[in-house]
Amino acid sequence: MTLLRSIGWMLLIMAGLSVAARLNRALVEDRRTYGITQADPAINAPPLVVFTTVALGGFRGIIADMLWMRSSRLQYEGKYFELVQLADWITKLEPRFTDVWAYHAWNLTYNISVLFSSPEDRWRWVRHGVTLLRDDGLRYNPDEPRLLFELGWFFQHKIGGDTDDAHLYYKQAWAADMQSLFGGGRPDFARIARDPVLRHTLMTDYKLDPALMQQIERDHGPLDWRLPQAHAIYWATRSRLVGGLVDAGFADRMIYQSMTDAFRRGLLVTREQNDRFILAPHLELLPYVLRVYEKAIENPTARVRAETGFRHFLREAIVLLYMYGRADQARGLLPRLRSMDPDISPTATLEQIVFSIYAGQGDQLTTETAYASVESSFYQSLFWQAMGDAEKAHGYDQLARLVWQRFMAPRMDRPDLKQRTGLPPIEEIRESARQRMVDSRSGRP
Amino acid sequence: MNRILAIALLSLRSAVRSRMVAVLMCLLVGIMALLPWVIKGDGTISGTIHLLLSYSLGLATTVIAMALLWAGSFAVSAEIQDKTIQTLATKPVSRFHLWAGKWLGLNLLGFLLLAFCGIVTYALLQAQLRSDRWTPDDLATVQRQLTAHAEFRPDQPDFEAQARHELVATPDRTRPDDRSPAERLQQRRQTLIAEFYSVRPLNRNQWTFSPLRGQTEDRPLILRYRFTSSVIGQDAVSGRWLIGTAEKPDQFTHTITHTPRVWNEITVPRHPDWSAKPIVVTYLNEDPGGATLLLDMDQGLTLLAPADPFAVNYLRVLLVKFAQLSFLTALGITAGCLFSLPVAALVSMYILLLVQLGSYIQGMATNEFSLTSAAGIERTTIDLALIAIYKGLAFLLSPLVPGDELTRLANGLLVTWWSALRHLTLQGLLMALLLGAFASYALNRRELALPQS
Repeated sequence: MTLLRSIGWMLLIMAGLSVAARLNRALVEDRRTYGITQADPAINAPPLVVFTTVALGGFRGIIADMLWMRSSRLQYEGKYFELVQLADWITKLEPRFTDVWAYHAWNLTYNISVLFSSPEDRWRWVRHGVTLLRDDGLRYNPDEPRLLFELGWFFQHKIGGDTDDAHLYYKQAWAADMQSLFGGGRPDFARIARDPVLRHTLMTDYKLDPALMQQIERDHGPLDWRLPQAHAIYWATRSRLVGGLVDAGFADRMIYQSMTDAFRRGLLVTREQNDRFILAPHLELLPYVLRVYEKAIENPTARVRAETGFRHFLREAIVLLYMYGRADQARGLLPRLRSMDPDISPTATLEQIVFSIYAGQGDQLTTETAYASVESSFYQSLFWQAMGDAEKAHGYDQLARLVWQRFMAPRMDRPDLKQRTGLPPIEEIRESARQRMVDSRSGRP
Repeated sequence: MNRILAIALLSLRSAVRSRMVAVLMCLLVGIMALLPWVIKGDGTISGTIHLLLSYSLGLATTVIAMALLWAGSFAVSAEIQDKTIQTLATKPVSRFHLWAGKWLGLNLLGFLLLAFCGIVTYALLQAQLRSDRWTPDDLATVQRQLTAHAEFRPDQPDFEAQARHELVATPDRTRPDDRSPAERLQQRRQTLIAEFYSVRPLNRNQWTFSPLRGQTEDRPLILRYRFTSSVIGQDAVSGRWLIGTAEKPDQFTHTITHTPRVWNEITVPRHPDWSAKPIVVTYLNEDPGGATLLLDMDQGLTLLAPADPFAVNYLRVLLVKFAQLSFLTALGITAGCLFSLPVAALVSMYILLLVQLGSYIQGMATNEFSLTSAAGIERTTIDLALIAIYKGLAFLLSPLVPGDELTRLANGLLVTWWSALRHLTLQGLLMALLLGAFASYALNRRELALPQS
C-alpha cells in the first residue's frame, strides 16, 4: 500500500513538472515579448551560471546586493584583493544585466587602477576590467552593443588616450602582447588561416575575428594592430554591426575619433638600439579617415558632431601633411576645409593657412602633435639640406628647436608632467627624422 | 564525569553516522580542495594569500558551523522523537549532564574538522609560497604581510572634554545659531578630530605614540597610513615624515610622494630611544599643489611592530574560530532541547544565516539613512519600525557576529593570546554553559515520555 502511494506521488510530481515545463516555455516567451525582465534565461551560459540563476531564483538579487555592498565597503577601506572575485560573482548572478558588467569593468579599469602608483599595478587592474568585459561580459551577452562599445572605449580612451600617468606603459604592454601574437604591426592573415594555434589564440583569448579584422583593414586602411586605436575600431565596428541607429552613431564617433588618432600617432616607431616607444603620424591613412568621416556624416543622428570632428581633423591634417612635405595632399584638402570652416579665408594660400593654424595651436599642443611638429620640421630640414637649400634647412631646424623648447619649457620644473607628457631629447627626435628619411628613400613604409 | 564522557562519545558516533553531516563534510573537503583554484585574486601574491586565508578558512568554518548546528539540533530532538532518550532519562543522569555530554562530543567533532581545515589551509599556503610564479620581491612582501604585527595608535586627547570646554569658555555669540547644544558639541568634537588628523598646506602636524615597552624585537617598524587629499582628482601628494622623540624629532626622515585613498607603508628602522620614550611622528606637508592632507580618522595612522611568526598568530585565530563553533554547537543542542527536529534545524540555520549576515545587519543599523525610504522626506512609521528591527537584531547578534580575526591574520596584524583566551572563556565556555543551563531547565520542564512527544 505504501509502495503504491509512493508511486502515485511520484507520478503526480512528474505530471506536475511536465505541465510546469510546458507553461514555463510560454511564460519565458511572454517575458521576452513584453520586455518584463532584463534577465533573460541564461541561453548558452555555462552550467554554473544556469544553476545559480535558476536555483537561487529571486534570492540572487539579494545575494548580489550583499556582494555589492561588500565590494563597496572593501573599496572604501582600500582593500582591493577581493574586488576581482566579487565583481565576477556579482556579474555572474546577473549575467544579462549589461549595466552591471559595464559598471564593474569601469570600476576596475578606471577607479581602482589609478589608486596604484606603479604602472605595472595599474596595468593589472586595467587588464582585469578589459578581461571582465571581453571574456565574461561578452560571453553571456555576445550581441550587446553597449558592452562592445564600452570595451572599445577602454582601448580608445584608457589605453589609447593620455589622461592616465601610466598610459605609455599600457600602450607598451599591449603592443608587446600584440607583437608576440602578430610578429609586428600588420597581421599576416594567410599565416593566421594556416596556423590553427594562432587562430585559436586570436579568437579564444583575444576574441578577435580574423575575418572582421580583414574587413576593417579593407575599410579603414593598414592599421597597426599593436596600437589601441585598431582595437577600439574593431570593437566599435562590432558594436555597429549589432546595434541600432543610436548605437551606430556612438560607434561611428568612436571609429572616426580612433581613425583621427591613428592618423596622428598610429605608427609605432621602434629602434633596435634602444627600447624607446615612439608613436608617429600614419599619413597613409588619410583617404580612409576622409571616407570614415564622410560616412559618419550620412547618419542624421550624428551629423553635427561628425562635421565638427571632420573640420578639426582637416585643420590638423593640412598642417601635418605640409610639415611632412606633402604639400600637394594638403592643398587637396583645402577646398573641403574652406567649405566647412568660415574662419578660413577663401583667398588664403596653403602656407598662410598652415601658419595660422599652427600658431593658433602653439599653446595647446598635445605631446604627439608636438612630437610630430618637431620631427616633421627636422625631416623638412634634412630634406632641404639634401636638396642643397641650406637656408630653408636651417629655418626648419630652427623651427623644430623652437617648438621643442616652447613645449618643454613649462615641463622642465615639473618632473611628473615631464615624465607623463614630455618629449624625448631633441637629438633623438632628429635621429628619428633622419631614419624616416632613409627609410623613405629605400622604399620602406 | 564518566557519564558526560560516555554521552559525548555516543553523540560523536551518532553525528559521524548522520547523512547530513557526511554530506557537509564532503562539501568541506570539496571546498578545501577546489576553492583555492577557482577564486580570482588581483594577480598579486598578497591578494592570493589574502583570499586563500579569508575565503578557504572562512567558508570552511561556515560549513563546519552548519554541520555542528545540524548535528546539535539532531542530537536531542531526534532522540526525543525516536524515544531513545527514554533509556537515558530513566538512568541517573541529570539533564545538564545529558546536554554537556552532547556538547562535548560535538565540540570534539568540531575541533577535529577545524584542525583538518587548518592544516590543509596551512599546507596550501606553504605550497603557494613555494610556487615558481613569484619573484623574490613578491616573497619578501608576503613574508612581511604574514608576520604578525602589534599595532600602536597615536595618543588621542579627550575630544569630548575639549569640545565641551571650548564651547563653555568661548561661546560664539557673533552669529545666530539654531543648533541644539548637543549638535554644537558633536560638531565641535568632529572638527577637533579632523584637525587632529589633518595637515594643512605647507604646515606640519605631530602625533605622539606611547613608548614601545616590552618590545624586544629589533626588526624595523612600519608606519602605515591612509589619507585623502583636499584636491579632488589628485593622484600624488608630496611631503616628509619625521620620526623621533620630543627632544630629537628627526631621528628618522623620509621624503615621499604618496597616493591618496590607498594604504601607504614606510619601513622605519627602530631607534633604541623608542622603547623608553614616547615616539613623536611629524608630517610636513610640502605639496606644491596646496593640498590639505586628511588621515583616515578611524585607523589612519598606525605604527606596526613585528611581534610573532605567522604560525603562532594562525593558531590563535583557529582558537578564536573554535570558540565561535563551540558556541554555535551549544546553540544547536539547545534548539534541539526546545523544539522538534525540523523546527530546531530551521531555527539553527536561521540563526547561522543571521550570524553570517551580522556585519550587514550591523552596517544597516548604524547607517539609518539607508533604511529611510527617501532622502529629504520625514521618516514614515515603516522606516522607524525597520530601524528599530535592525537595531534590535544588531544588539542581539553582537555576541555572535564573528570578529575580523581572519582579516587581521591576512593583513599581518596580531591576534593576541588575550583575545584568543577571552573568546574561549566568554564565548566558547561561559555563554555556551549559560545556554546549557537554560536547555537543561527546559528539558526538566519537558515531558520526555509522552507517546506523542
